[in-house]
Amino acid sequence: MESDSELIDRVQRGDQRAFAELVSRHRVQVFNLAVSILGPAFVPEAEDVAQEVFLKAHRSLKSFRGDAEFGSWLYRITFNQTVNMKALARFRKPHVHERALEILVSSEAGPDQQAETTQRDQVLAECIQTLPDAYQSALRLYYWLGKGVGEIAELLGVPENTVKSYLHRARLLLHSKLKERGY
Amino acid sequence: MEMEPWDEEMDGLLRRSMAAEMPELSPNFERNLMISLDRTSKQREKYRRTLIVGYLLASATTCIVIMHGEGLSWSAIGALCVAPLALVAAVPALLRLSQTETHRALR
Repeated sequence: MESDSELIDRVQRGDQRAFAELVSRHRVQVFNLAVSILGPAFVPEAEDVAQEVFLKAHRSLKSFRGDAEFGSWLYRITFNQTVNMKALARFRKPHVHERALEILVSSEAGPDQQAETTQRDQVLAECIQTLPDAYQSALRLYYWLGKGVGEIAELLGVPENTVKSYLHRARLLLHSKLKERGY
Repeated sequence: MEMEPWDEEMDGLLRRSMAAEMPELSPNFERNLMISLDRTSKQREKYRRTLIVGYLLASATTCIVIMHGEGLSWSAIGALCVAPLALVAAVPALLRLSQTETHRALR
């Protein structure tokens, strides 16, 4: 199998099939990173971001010198592009994913307990939205998308210990925010 | 490393609360991307050509006006405009011809 840098050489010589191969190798990671920053209510928007990222990468590949790994470079573009998109007001609305609500409603708890759990989850979702983008991304990649610390480190371009520290600090912040709101 | 009780509690809460369906990319993602890539490449190429043609026309018109103002005849101006274009067109053809001759000589 050709390495990323060999494929980049081919793209720089005008081979579109090599670019398609690069897309197929990295599309899932790019999409996961985008959706982890935007949140579960914005899956179609995350797909738009992923598409925009690859178009941007294609435009910039001619000047790509290979100082960094292609993946790291691409994930950095994804992070910046998604954070810019998130700055738009409509991406700041808190939510609880519909499926999560279904799971909670179908549990065996009584109606009062279910309502309380649903409300607490709503508050938790609101609190998550107030965390720094890197913390939100690390939390969603870990708890929602089930990624390991190593993979999250690669996507966010930070060492594994930093990811562990993001997760710990995010939990600490959420704990105190929930406490402030009486949970 | 062991987790503190509050940390463990938050860990459990996040696991329960964020247990939702995994999102997936639409199956047409790559096809749509390649279509947009093709469309944007064509648009950029068209923009580049328009820019070059616009620049050529503007600079040629300026040159013609100046040369005419300096008193050059229309035939001289025409020759001065056509000569560089003919040169640009002739160079690649001459290069190809010389390469063919070299190949023949080597055989």
